[in-house]
Amino acid sequence: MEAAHAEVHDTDADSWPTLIHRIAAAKGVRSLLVGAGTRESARLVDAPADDSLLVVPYAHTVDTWRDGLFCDIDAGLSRARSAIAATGSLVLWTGPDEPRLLSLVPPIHFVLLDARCIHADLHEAMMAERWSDGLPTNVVVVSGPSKTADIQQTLAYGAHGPRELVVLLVHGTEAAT
Amino acid sequence: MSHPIQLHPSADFIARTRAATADKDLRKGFRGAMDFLQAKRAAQFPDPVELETLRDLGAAIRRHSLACLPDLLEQLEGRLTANGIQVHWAETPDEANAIVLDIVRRRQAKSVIKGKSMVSEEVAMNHVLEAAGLEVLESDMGEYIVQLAGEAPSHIIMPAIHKSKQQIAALFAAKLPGVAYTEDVDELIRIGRDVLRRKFAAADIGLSGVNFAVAETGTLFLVENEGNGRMCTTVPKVHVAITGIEKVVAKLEHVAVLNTLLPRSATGQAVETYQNFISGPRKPDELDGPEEVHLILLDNGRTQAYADREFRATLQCIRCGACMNHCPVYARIGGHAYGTTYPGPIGAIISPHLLGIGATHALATASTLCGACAEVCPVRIPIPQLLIRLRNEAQADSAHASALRGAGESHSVLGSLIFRAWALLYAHPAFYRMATWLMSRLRVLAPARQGAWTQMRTPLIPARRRLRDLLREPRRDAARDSTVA
Ligand code: SF4
Repeated sequence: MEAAHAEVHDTDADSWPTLIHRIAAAKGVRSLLVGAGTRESARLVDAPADDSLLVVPYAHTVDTWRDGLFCDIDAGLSRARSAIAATGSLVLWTGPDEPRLLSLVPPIHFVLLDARCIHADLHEAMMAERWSDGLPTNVVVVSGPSKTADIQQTLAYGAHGPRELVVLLVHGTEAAT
Repeated sequence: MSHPIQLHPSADFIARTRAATADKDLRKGFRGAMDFLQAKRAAQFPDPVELETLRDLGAAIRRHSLACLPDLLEQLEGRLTANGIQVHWAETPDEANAIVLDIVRRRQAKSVIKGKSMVSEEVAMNHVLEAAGLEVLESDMGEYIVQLAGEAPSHIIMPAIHKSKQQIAALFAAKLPGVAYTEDVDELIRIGRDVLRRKFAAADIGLSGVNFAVAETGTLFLVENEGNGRMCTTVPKVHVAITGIEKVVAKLEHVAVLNTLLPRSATGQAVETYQNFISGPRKPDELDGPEEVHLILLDNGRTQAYADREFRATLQCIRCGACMNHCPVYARIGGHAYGTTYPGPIGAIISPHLLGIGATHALATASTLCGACAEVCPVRIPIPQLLIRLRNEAQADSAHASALRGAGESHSVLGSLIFRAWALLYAHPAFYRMATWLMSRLRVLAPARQGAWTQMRTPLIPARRRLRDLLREPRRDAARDSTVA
């Protein structure tokens, strides 16, 4: 994943909320968008931290706060359903609790990944998780921050999607699920 | 409705290639880009056994999809509809555009933001939408640059490949209010990002292409690096996807295999940043995503290729662009010289079905038949073989011309007589002997200037003595050998 320009931090089920607070503070993130009503959002709010990180739940349809989403949010947090070793990719399963734009619009994207859910390649992930039995309206497989090489083949990060991708690899049994 | 791209690409193809080969900057740009892309692709496939096995698999998947195309399309329509995605069929570009205009009118849309879609270029959709008074904005950085410059893409994957950093810097400074000239690529991208970000939030309709449509699950699969494709398919209230009927695959797992070939063949990346699987519009309990999703399936001559046993292979294409990246002709003349939506080797074999053979026959002749394209094609399309067949179809006389649109349109009586004489000569030893004897006798009459041949080469002059005469002479060393024995 790091080859694809993502930042990876090892952590465990107990300490990831504090780690996010720490990284967010270091990156100057003031507002973090999270899925409304997820266990993770509650833990982030409860985490003991002395920073002023504003945890914003994604609670209303995008139509009511489009401008706010596009302009006022510094970062988003979502959970990966699994990951793919061959390409260093994260599988994001969107739905009512983790809307599609959560992982796309904010300039920095944090992802929680349970270290036990790693497949060899996309094909194996599809087969093991039986994707063809039923897909949500949108599945996104993310490999690194958004980028473009459209100007003279020079690679630049942060095209239209997030400029930074921060992966929190959660080890241990009681992982974030 | 006018179609600016439906010109007669053959008509001034030669003139355009002359202009392109004379343009030193253009040639330098393309050469550099092609070398870069070739090296990156090669680095992605270090193991030839893996590569060839994957190509076998890729070709088999695509052939399988085509073998059951009618059934798969029916299944796809059924699944998509069950998922809430509206399916439209378009036989011609006009029909495709009419479908989009209809959606635009019903939703009273004023602006359209576009992700990368070569099929929308194929039907000249921007032009039609703009003529209807809509604001149409390309959001892929390369496409945005090309649109700002009022040009067409010159490569199917890297649309602005013909432009240098300096040209883009000057373009931004000239066209965008309040933007100063800068050659810093990160800064240029940031400028583009800021302009487009505001547009994403405001656009009424998002338009995109499709890389594969999965029949089994009713899923649209799209890949990209920038995130603009996800924006286009997620932020506006309506998402309209358009693609050719050949892009369907039977199973979701086929996508996984094909997409191990696509990015590595195309840009030499292991994987794209975003692989996007869309299986429906926003559900009542979801907070974002489009309210409506439409898929337009375009024929535009594809069924003609489909109906022919040999040409059907054309439709296996996954639009990776590797054939153009490795084509010595494309590297020298660039994408615009072809005058068609799809340039390079794939353009030469697909355009005849979209626009007719008569209008595009010159493209098939712009090949040395070196075979580089077929060697890299991830789905094993026998491109040189198809080029030869197209050349024959273009020249065929009425008795031999096939049912292909435009077949035989470049037939010339003189040309076919020359080739018939040629065939006669080679089929009959007596004629052949006579002709070569005559030629060696009349060699002094060979002109010193032989048209295009002598532009770069010394003139062709028959030898004083024919090979067969030389062979007939008793070989001195042969005689010695026999005495030794
Ligand atoms: S013909 Fe083959 S190499 Fe060329 S774009 Fe299509 S799939 Fe790629």
